[in-house]
Amino acid sequence: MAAVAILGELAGALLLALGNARGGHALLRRPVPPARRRLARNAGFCLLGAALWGLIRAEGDLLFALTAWALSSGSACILAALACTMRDRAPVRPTPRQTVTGPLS
Amino acid sequence: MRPGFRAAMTWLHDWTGILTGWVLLAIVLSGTLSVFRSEINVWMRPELAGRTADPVRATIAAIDWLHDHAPRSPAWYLTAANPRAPFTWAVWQQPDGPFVQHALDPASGAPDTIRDTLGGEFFYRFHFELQIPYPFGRLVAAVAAMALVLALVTGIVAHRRFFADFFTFRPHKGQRSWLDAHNLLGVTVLPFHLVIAFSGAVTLASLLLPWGILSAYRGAPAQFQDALSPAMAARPATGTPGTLAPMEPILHEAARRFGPDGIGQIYVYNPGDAAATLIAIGGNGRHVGFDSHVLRFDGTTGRILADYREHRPMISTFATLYGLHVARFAPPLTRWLYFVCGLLLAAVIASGLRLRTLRRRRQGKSTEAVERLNAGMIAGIPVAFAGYFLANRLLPATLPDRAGHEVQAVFTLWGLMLVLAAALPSATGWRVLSVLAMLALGGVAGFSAPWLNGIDQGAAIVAILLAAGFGYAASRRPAPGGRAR
Repeated sequence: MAAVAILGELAGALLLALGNARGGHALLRRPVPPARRRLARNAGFCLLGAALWGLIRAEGDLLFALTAWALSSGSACILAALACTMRDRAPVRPTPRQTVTGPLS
Repeated sequence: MRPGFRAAMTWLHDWTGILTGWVLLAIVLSGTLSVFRSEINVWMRPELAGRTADPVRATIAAIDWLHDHAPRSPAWYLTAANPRAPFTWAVWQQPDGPFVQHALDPASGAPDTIRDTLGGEFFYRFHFELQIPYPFGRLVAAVAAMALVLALVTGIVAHRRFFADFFTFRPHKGQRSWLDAHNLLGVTVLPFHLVIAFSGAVTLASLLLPWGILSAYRGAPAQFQDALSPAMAARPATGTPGTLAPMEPILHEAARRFGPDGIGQIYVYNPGDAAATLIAIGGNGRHVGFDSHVLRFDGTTGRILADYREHRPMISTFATLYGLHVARFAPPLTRWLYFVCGLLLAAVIASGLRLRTLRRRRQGKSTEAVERLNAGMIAGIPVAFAGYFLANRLLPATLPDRAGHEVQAVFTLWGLMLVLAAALPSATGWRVLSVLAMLALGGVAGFSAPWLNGIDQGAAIVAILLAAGFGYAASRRPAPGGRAR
């Protein structure tokens, strides 16, 4: 259960990154409209909340769970930031429009 | 908010970091290692690998040994064996004053079968005493903890784009990259940083603000201690010789009353006197708060004198903050998270120190001396701490005052690293010290062989990852503007 909760936190942190102007641009390689960013952010917060609920169930103690949640969600945000960095630095693959020639172009 | 306020906070943030950064780095790194104090205790005593101990039997063996070998000591302080540390840790005062501390064999109660080392206790004590005599080391640690709280709060104010930059790290951009790293590592784990800094400052608050206690107790600190821990008070010695009651029924009764918390510590005051007192303290592994269940026994009859549980709100609040700081409650996953977040806090401090020199260099100011000292501290402390582990395996097991020599190895290595860093140009110094840190950590991983148990495997993995980090740092070539290529 704790492992699932932490995976949920990682996914939540990635959604929060997607909901961030700079993070979203890095992950999707294009600007994300504000409405979608808001949606991603809300989904991220929901996942983080669900992860906390999972940790409370796994640990059986609110304070234990809150401590673990605060520590692991911070680490998950750092991993999400590193994912944004790596994605941002990866070479851009040419789009089909750039590669396909002939009648379709 | 007036623009002047933010600038003032930035100035305060910078100067707090500059004045206390090096001390804080040492405190944070030793505190981070203290999270695994018990595991380090076992790693540094390979004789104990794979052993288990019954806390009651191990404590009885330890008390029997102390009865034979330290009968005139005014007090014995024992930390009971537990699943993480299968030995009894004993500290006792010699009649002429100095304290002695040893790990005692869980079966025989003697220290002879276990190598003499402080193990993880060194990092734990260093974390708040800095190997400086009482009370000066604790005062320095208290001031540093307050400074960390101040640096974090002013940093929050100074960091303008708190949420916009939340997921931003732009590598290979010199000062910008260091600032991104500093902000990212500081902001994402901010709750941990704040709780650890604040609870550390609260733990040592009586040193920073002693006047309330001095005024209320009129210079009688013993009365304050009695009020703080009513059940821990020892009866004064009568001068009449006495014999300790059989320990087994006392300890079984204590274990029964503590239930799943188990026995944490046993203190025996005036063990050879008719007024001998035995204090049993319950374990804290199942509560965040450090709220103790204490039993006080008449040492000569075994009769229970007090069964005390702490319920006073202020002390319970303090105990919760202290418990959050020391993380004794933490299950393995949370302990690892504490460890990782501790390393991140160390990285925040190190990146802040580096950032300051880069900023001054861009302003055309000389930073060479500070840069060299930065190298000596940021890369030197890991070398020195890794040297402690290496000394544990390299020094002969029967060397007299072996534990003292291990500690000397830390400070000798640290001094050497500082001298080396001061002697070399900063860019070369960074690289040389990073290589040395990589080699020392690689040595720790090697000495963890054959990696049969979780402790050895964990030590090796952490050491290899940190060695890889220093190896990467050594491979970077700093450009004149401080921009790594």
